[in-house]
Amino acid sequence: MKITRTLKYLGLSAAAAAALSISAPANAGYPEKPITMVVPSGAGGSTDTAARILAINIQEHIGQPVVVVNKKGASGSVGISYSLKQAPDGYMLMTGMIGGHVLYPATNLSAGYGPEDYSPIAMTQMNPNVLVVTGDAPYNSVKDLVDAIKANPGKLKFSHVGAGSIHYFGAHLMMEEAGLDKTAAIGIPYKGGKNAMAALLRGEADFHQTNLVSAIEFIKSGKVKALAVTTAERLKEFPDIPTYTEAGYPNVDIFGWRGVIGPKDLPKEIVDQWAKAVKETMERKGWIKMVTAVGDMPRYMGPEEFSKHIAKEYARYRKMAEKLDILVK
Amino acid sequence: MIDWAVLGDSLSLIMTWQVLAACFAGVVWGMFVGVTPGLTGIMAVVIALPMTFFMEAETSIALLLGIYVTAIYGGSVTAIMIATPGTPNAAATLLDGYPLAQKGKTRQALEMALYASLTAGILSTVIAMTVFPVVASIALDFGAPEVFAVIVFSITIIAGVSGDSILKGLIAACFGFLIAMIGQDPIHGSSRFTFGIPDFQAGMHILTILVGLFTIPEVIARAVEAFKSKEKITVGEMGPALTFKQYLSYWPTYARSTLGGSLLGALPGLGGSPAAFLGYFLAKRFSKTPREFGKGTLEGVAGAEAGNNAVCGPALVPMMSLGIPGDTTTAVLMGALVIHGLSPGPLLFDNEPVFVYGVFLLLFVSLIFLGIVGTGVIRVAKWVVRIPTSIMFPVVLILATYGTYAVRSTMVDVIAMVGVGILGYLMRTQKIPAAPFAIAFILGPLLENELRKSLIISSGSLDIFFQSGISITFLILALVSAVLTVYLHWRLEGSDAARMIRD
Amino acid sequence: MSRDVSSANSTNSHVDIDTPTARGDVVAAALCLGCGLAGYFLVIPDAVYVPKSFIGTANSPAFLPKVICIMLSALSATYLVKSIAQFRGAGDEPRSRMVDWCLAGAMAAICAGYVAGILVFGLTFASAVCVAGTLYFFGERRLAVIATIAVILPSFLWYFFAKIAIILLPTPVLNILGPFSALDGFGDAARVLVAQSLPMAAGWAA
Repeated sequence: MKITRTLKYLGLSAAAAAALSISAPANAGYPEKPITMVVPSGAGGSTDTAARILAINIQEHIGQPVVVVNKKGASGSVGISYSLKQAPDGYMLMTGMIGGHVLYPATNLSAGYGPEDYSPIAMTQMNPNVLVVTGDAPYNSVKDLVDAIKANPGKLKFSHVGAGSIHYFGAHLMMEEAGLDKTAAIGIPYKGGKNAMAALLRGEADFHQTNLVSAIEFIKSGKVKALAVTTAERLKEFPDIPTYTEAGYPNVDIFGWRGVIGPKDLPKEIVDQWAKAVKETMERKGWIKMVTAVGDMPRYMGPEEFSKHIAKEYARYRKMAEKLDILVK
Repeated sequence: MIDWAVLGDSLSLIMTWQVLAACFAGVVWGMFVGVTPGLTGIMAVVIALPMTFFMEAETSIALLLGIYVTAIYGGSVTAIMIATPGTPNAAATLLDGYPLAQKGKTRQALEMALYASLTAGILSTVIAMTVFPVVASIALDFGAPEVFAVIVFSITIIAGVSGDSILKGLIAACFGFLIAMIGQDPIHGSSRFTFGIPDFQAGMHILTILVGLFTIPEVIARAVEAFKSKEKITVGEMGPALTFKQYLSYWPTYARSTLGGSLLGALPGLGGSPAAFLGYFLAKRFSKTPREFGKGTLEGVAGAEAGNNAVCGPALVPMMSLGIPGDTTTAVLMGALVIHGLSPGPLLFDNEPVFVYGVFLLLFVSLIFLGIVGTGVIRVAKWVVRIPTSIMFPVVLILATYGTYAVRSTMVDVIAMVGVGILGYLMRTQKIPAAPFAIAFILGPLLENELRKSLIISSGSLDIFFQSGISITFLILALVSAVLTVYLHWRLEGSDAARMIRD
Repeated sequence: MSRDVSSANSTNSHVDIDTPTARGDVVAAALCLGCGLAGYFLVIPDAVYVPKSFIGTANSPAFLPKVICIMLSALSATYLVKSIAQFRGAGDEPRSRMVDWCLAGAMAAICAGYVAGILVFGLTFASAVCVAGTLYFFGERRLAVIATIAVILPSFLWYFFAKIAIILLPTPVLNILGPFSALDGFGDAARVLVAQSLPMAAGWAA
């Protein structure tokens, strides 16, 4: 069994190698040596896993090994600042993530970088967010929850993972869209999404908006109820969860993403070569299998679309940060 | 409470040569990295990580569990021999382990650490397995005010490890707490004491602080000594072996540390170092010879090492039932579970009982392998102690620097290490103890976080801390502990009031 | 530690550097008090950012830093009062030797120089120089021993950190050792081979 698979793999890789040699890359020579991929978070985390899965699978499509290095700290900004200072020669790229690349600079004036300082290459995967309440909570829809918040201003609480996190913005976006004041419900910060989820189970918080992957097991076990998901259409795996669009708040379309990002002034040829390689990699069964295993959904965006998405998100969160007075100097 | 049929299935799941070989390889690799100063347990895991993607679930878990268990122990070897804690967990072991080695009892200290680790590791895993649902519920029973109360209780440890002057200990603790505040505010995310340095946003790393507090002052002190002395000084003798009788005589210490460590382990996200200090503190509190602590007593090593290893079994419970890892190693372990489709969550135990029991059985296997490999390491240690001081400490300085740098690959950590090192040396010349500094650094941020979270939940009312039995119990315990410590200190030292400051 | 004091007394008015003296306590207490007060009045208002819309006391980012600074000041003041009393009572007290302080200062300077060396010349080169210098300081005079350690230790560490653990080494200002100063991506053949062959073995890639 293993042997046949191996043979199959060898055959495929030989074919891929042949294909590569035929379609010579536009800018001759690149890449001549292994490429370093900086992961701005700790080893073993979900971003790191995503980067390693991509690195292993993309080798054949980019033509050189991709070496993953971790440089974590301060929501990813330490690793990102470091990568942005490197030469834009395409030999040092980074794993893009919403937290470090968009949310942190949007909420920190001293971050030292913004979307204009890096070159988005491609988005690889996304993770929708869901609004959850405990299984025995009296709310069965977003409307129930919004009504409850309206009836008891300042009484209900939600858990998040720190001001400026996607969890924090997600809950506030929902409240904003529902026409509620920012103090209508109180946010409690926890270290990490699972601690925030535990707070909900413990009854310290009344609702929580988080990425789907953190909530899946708890939804399946009935410990929490999902009231809404941030995708435009219902998820295939969870047809019972209504969308925010159905609830009348289509603007609550927040979702987490990961991708590949390079430093500023990265030559267009390299950006395109990488975008193509990423696209090809995303068709590999091995990549899809591993990405779905960690709970993400494959989602490709090319350089232009990705840049536009990032710019739009950045503007939105900067505006929200100002409004919520969490902008750090 | 154990389903024996399931346990049998679990046994057959892990009793394959691939799984056992992976586990053994993990232990050997974890030990190599653990006992080499400068290489940290986190690195061991990172290097092994990509391989685990392609293994069967049980094989990859076996490899990582081997590293997990060994990394907790491995750090104590360097703490005992060269005053360099390889992991934050080993800081408490250093307090008595290093003085023991200086007294020529390196072998006893190393063996005590190993056997205390094994004993507590096995006992705590038994606890985690037999009362899994109870351990799992602890994570949900302890909300912010309850965890706050536990940490307040743990903070009273500071008075217990202050050496001869509680006053100096408390001053050191204040500095530790302040240094720990560098970085992002835990609630608002605004910056504190960062002075515009981007890397300061991430805060100080515990290993930077520990190397700065313990290793650098030791290197400076040895340099002064070595420069003045004419003959070459060797670090010392291996000394006699630990007798079985000595091992047995500390069983109450193991029991206390195991209970304390298991409780802290079951609380999500605390990690092993508070447990090590709690174990050390409990050993001292109940000791017949508390004044020997800090000057080299086996009881201190036993308490600390039993304490931090008692975490390893229970810490896996919130990891598997809620998906909350206690430290980096457990985080990677969880990542490996996820990638193999075994998502941590409330259903994991119901859906995959065979696998969950298998994880605990593998923990036993890892501990047995640790015993074998650890005994071998102690044999090798006898060559290390023969290295003269004049070669040992210059090399330690280099290794400590690499280790500090590599944790987060930032030079800011290295600069901070030297800064804290010079501060630590100045503290040492005036006998201001370093241990309270380290404890405050570890517990301070936890305390602040839980306190402020509780106050948000209660909208600013302090009543929240007196609403549950658990938090009231721990607050009373904290009060008793604080009063008792001061009283005992006063009784021991009061006869000679002048000592309070002099020593 | 009474042993140290007595032995120091016998050698006439000098003590080990590790032996606390009442004079040293006064200085240390004054410094701690200074830190506490400076922290409260100068550093916290400047370096702790409190959002404008913030209401409340205990939950302010500046609350606990202030509490700790007050505690530090109070404790240090007690320490200062006690140590001054002690100092007055101690009379003519032994001092620690100036030469000890100079030696400790020199070793601290080596550490600081090492850090500066890393920033300028890179980790590998600075470590080689630093370990050689420190060995000499510690009284090692055999040139062969110094040279061997100075070459082998940084080389091994470079290989391990750059090639096995794959850690980004600091980028020096003057890159005299070229690729040996920083991670350059070459020579990872063994790792890459492992990374590529494992997917085959597990059948992931197909």
